[in-house]
Amino acid sequence: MTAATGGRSRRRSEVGWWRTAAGLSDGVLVVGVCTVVLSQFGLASIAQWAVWETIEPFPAGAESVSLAARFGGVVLANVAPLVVAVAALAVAGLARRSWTIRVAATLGIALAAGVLRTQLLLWVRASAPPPWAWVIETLSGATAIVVAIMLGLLAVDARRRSRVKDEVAAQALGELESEEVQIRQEVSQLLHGSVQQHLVVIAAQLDHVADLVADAGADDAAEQVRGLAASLDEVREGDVRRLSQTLFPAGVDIGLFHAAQLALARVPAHVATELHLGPLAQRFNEITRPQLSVTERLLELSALEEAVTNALKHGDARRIVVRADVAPGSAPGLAVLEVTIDDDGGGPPTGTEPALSGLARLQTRFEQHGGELEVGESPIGGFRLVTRLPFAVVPQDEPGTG
Amino acid sequence: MVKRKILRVAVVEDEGLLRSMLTEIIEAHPGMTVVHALPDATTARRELLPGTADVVVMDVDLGDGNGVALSVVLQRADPELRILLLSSHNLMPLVLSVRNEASSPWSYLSKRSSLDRATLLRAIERTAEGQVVLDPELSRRAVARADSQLQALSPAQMSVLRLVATGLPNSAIGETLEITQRSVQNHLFAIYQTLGISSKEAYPRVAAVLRFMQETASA
Repeated sequence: MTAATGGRSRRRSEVGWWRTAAGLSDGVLVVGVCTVVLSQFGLASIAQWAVWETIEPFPAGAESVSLAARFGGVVLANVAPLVVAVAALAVAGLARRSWTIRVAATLGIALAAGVLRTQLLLWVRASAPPPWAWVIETLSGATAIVVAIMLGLLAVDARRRSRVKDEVAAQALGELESEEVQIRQEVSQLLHGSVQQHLVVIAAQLDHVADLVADAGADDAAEQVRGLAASLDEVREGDVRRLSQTLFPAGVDIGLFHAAQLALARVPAHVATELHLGPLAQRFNEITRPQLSVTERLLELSALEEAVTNALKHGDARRIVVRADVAPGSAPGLAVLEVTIDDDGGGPPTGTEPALSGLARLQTRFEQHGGELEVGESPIGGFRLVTRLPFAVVPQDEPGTG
Repeated sequence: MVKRKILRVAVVEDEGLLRSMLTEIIEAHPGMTVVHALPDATTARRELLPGTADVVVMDVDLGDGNGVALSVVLQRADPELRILLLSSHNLMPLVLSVRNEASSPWSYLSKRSSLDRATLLRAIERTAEGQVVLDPELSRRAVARADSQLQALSPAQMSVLRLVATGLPNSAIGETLEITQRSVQNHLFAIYQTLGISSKEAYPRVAAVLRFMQETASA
């Protein structure tokens, strides 16, 4: 049982619609739009026929045709051109053509279907109308078909532009994330290496100064200097190492599950921890064939660390259980990593918004990667966090990046 | 693994000074020789051919890749090769998490906590024998996790297991704890029984050390 952080249901619905529309081929989109518009036109035409049927006497000869047959004829006269236009569209593949070909083909299809419609209507009417009526009826039908096809083609073009924008945005986001990973790694290494070593050297010098001060008889001052050295060590061991770890968690360059194991090993001993990998996750040779990018691994580790922090700080948990497995994705070559983190703590405190702000930010980041993040009650009593992250499966015969 | 007269050791370490120091220490041991001293993963993949070394002392953070992936690749090509990982971050739990991808368990030493001559040489020797050696300082600080079977061990048994994890033989454990070797052996049998490890296993000590790793937290 899971529930989303604020507004998730509405966003998921929107995402679902968008994914459905985005999954349609260009041809299907054109035909779909065209069908909707022409159906409206056809319904209007049938309604107009119904009005005329009541106010305008039929010409001689038409009375011999029953009302049902006349109705059927009008419906057929409006459906047949639609079918013809849609079939012609499908055959011509206009969505892939230039605008010159599109316009020329559209006018041809519209004129042919318009004539067909008028002729069918005349067959129902069973008499020859004046020429101007034939022209007007044909033009109205043809115009409706032109409008329908053009709207369909414009919808395809609009979606293509949107896709290009999305691709550019995704590429920019990917580049930013790569830079972020690089900077995180560099700063982390700097903190773990140079900064720590400088602090070690300074602490050692302070200890030496303390010895000199003590030799000079100033024991209180020497003790103060030793206190400073000890504080410096605490800063190094605590703040600097923690910051380095936060920026680039240990093991993240090796593999997600290895980094998760390292992260869980740091959980205080009074908390029982479990890491279970599902059958598909176990089959991934993570070290020599990494499946997730470093950015994706950092994202998953951020969720794990957020869940662990919430469990310990807000829930006073005594047990944390992490389960991970992989499911087939929405297309060949894609898979979805699902990670579930349960704890037996008290859950987030009342008035959860501040506590969930970190999760809300993570949720946004998961959505940017096409995934999702949910929170809810855990069956073991506390908080549950579930993440789903789609990724491209690296085939086993391709060289890994390890 | 058949014990060789002279242990052939490969060192893969990107820091030149440390690589020289490691090489010097190992070469000074009469029972060991350094057959490769390599600076990066690319060179190691090219030169560390199957059958040319018994143990690799492997740095995790190499300039052109990570030593964990390299070790997996090398061990696949030569399942008899034993791995002793070195790192500046505390990556000791990796010994546990790589066990499904490695052909035999690895040992681990931290560059920052207790890397001295005796510890290094003992770790290489014990690793070559198929044992798992964990960093002494990190093992000393490890605490049994809640709800784990390690909590069922007595303090004396836990002390023995800690020292087993560092690669000490029973005689050295007895000397350190000031108890007889027979007492050490009795403690070990009790440890195996509590943890559900058969003493008839090929490497019951390895199984015990991996459980120690699995059921402790880094303090």
